[in-house]
Amino acid sequence: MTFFKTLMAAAVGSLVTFTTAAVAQDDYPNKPITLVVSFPAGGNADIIARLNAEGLSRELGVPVNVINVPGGGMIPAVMNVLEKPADGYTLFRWTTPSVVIGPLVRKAPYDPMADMTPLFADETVANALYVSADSEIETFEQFFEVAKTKKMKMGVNNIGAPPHLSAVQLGQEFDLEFNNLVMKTVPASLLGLVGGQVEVAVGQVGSFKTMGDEIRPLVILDNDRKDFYERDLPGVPTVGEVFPGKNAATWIKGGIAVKAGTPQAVIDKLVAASEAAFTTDEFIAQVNNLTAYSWVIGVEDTTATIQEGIDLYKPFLDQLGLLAK
Amino acid sequence: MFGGSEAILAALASLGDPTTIMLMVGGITLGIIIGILPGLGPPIAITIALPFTFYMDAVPSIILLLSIYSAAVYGGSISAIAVGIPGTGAAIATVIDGHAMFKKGRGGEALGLSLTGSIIGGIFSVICLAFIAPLLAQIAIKFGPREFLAISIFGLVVVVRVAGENLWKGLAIGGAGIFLTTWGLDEVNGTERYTFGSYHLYEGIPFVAFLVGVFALSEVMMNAETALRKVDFDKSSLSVKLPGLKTLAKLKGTIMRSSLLGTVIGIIPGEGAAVGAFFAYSEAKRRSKNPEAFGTGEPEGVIAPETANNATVGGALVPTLTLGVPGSPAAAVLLGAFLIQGLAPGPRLFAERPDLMYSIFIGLLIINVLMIFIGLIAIRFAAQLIKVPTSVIVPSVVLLCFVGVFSVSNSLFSVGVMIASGFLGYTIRKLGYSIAPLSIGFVLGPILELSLRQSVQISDGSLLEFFASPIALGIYGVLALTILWGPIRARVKKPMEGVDDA
Repeated sequence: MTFFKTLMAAAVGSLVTFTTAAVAQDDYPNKPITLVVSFPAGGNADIIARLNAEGLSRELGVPVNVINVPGGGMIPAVMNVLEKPADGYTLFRWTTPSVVIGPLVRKAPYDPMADMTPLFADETVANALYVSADSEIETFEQFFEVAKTKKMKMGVNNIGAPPHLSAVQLGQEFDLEFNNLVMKTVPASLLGLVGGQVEVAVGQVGSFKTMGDEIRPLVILDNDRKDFYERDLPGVPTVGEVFPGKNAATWIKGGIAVKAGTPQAVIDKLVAASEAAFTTDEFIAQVNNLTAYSWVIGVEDTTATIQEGIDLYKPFLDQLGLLAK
Repeated sequence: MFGGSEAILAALASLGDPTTIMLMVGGITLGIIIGILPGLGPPIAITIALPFTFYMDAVPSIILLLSIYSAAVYGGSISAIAVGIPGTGAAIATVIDGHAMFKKGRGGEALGLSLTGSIIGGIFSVICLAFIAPLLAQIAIKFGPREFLAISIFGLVVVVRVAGENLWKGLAIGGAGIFLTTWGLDEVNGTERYTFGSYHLYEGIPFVAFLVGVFALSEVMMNAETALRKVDFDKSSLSVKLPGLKTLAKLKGTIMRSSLLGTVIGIIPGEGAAVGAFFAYSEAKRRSKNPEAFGTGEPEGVIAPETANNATVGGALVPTLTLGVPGSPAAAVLLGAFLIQGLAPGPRLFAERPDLMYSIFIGLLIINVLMIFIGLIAIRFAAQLIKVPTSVIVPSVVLLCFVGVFSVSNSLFSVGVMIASGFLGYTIRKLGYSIAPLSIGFVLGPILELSLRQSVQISDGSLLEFFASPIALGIYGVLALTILWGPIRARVKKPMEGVDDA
């Protein structure tokens, strides 16, 4: 009798535990969700995150609040997510510095591939080489001729950032040496061209829109053509098109991730909601206004995409002696 | 000029928005209140409001902060005149003659002079801003490492010379400010410096947290030390008597000189309202026919510093908007507000956001006009405000500092930095040093370091290359002139002891 009672109690107990767990996931989300952004409010990265929050909120039926945790090499933002429970109520807007470059160059207290589960990627950026609009250099070939004869002053935003790594790759592939000037931001690098502080600079494909007729694009620092190149930089070739066989690549992407260990049911729900919200024409148009929309959905594919980024940048950073040991 | 009439119309539309107008009125009121409260100056006033701008558009948020800035610079004079306690560093010069006038029963007149002077100085500097800034923006595009190096050296040298009790103390504290900016990841080659193994320090010491600590928290600690003041004064003296045209005509030389002096000092990177006020005061005294009357309640001794300190507001915005180099400590905090909005002040800002630029120019004019009315009302309530005991002010300000700093980055680490820099500022003041060189060193340090290292990189090791720029040479030339400008400095130096700039 006693034994039976205990058994029953245990059975009922486990049943209850089981159902509450199931219910907890079934009715996810039943409270507001937080989306952590590692950039300050107002920039492109923040605007995209806010578009994400709006779309997810509409699909999931709960408020999605964006909080900005800028600075600290983006590590505080990541830790802000990893210190919360893996329940899908804290999302992270990942970008190249936080999931690829940061953990490679700094002793980060997290491993992006092990501690985070990426859900999707929705933006992509590529680098391009620019000179001032009144420069004598008009084509990539002409640039190549000048750069062979002297150490040109090259404007990059930050050491170890994708534009700098593109410049390094360009130097390696074509056996050129540059005098890299750190200008802190991409617009500042391009402004350096206009002011004559640098002779050549690495900016982004989309930078041309904002700087207009003051700068001249020479080449897109990529091998293969992507569909937004013609939209942002019509008629500008890629490195691969001008010199087949030479290698150039950029990996700048962004999307949303959750903490590793989040229940599968929650991940499925978030992935489904993301797909519904972020493949609409309206969302694509809004992202395209800021950078370029490039959609990768699902944990497996997104993880593979991020791994590509790590594989691309790790050897460069190692050669530059920037890899955290 | 930039964007033309379309941009002006857009600016007028966003300024005419009821929310923006409400923010303007609210900002002026808050600014005057904070200005009146002893010890709390413009940088604190702006930092307290900064977190509220996170979710506003660019125009309303910048207008709110500019309202607070202008009004706080003015507000300090009310307590300076009425009780002889300067509400802000900018009003220290006003105490001398303003309070003397008050004691002679001419308080209403003094209050009228300070209000009128502030408005005239403010409007004069806005007009200068509107003309100089677009021109400077065109030159500013030519500013490279060598020019920025010259500018930061200029700003540092001038602050150290005028604000320190003595040159060596000023240099030491300015150097400490620069040293603190070297913490974090080195921008040129990515080396970790003084990170103490904490990832929080990768981006260096957080800017807003540091400034709030140094300005607000340390001030509050100093205030908390003083026993509850017993303030009693004759309230009837608080009815304002605005100067007539005749009086103004008599003072017009002083007003014009002070406006110009304030604007120029505002333009110099790092110098703010307090330095402007002192220069104008000593200049008025030097030019006066009866300098011995200064200190006994001379109207010129009130209108000169009050005109000049408000004139520094427009002046300070010139380098802030065109170069991204703050013209005053308060403008340094304002720079943070631009960055929060995703706007990088610099030569491009004019081309990219002409509407914002016109909003700032026109908005500042409106702010100065509104300040007349709000100022007149505020003076009536000043008596109650000045009587608010320290035991109420201190905790309220501390609470606002904590909330504000936390909300900038959602980080408790920043709050820790604020507390630590508060103690640092307190210690520095207690030792008889001024905190102005510390904050300017902290603001100009990163510009100095980056431009110095870039200059070395460009010059290939030749020292002459540093001067191979006409603009940089010009800046060094002006610096040499200011150093040789000894006589005025000698006059200014004594009353400037321990002044914390705003």
